[in-house]
Amino acid sequence: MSNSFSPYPCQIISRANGLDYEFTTSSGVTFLVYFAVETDYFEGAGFANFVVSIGFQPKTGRITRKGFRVPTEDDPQVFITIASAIENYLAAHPHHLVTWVCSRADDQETARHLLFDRKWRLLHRASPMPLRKVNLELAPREYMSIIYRTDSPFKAELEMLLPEE
Amino acid sequence: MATLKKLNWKTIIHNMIVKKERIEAHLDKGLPLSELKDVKFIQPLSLPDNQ
Repeated sequence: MSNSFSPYPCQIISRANGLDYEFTTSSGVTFLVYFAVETDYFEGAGFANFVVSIGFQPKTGRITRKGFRVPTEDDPQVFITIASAIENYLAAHPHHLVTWVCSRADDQETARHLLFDRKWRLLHRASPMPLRKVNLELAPREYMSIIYRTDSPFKAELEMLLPEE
Repeated sequence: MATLKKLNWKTIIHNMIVKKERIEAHLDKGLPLSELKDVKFIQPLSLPDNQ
């Protein structure tokens, strides 16, 4: 599949077990990206892998006083690379929802949530693909974003699945 | 058409977070995702040309 609209500024350094991949920024911070299938909530022919959750995990990087890793000067590279991962996924799976969940009770997760929202703005601004993000916070400190293509041939079905904001 | 088995999005989000925390704890130990037999992963597609 073409990745002509996905700059991937970071160097992709490995592909572990075919289930994830790692990218390394120019200063050597390494992240891992994966997509986990959410099979428990939906049924119906053709929708077995309808909802996936993206995860991205720093493997190296600066460790803060609170003991977690955060990107620093590499932020733009990290944002664009993960945004490209989402965009490329939806290019290949126009009928899917990509979710991002986090617990705001966790400082590290809060940092990643901020990272994700900044990535989203970059993705939304740069992408030729019409995307929509729905934000949900249905429980204290539990947060979800749902991203889908508004030009999906399954748009009506996708939006039927969405909860009310 | 897909149908919802569960309409409780609060529960869905909570369960997704629990699963994510399990995945991250697993990765923090340096273990591969393939060892998480009860979680299904989709292979990331369209890796960039610089792989």
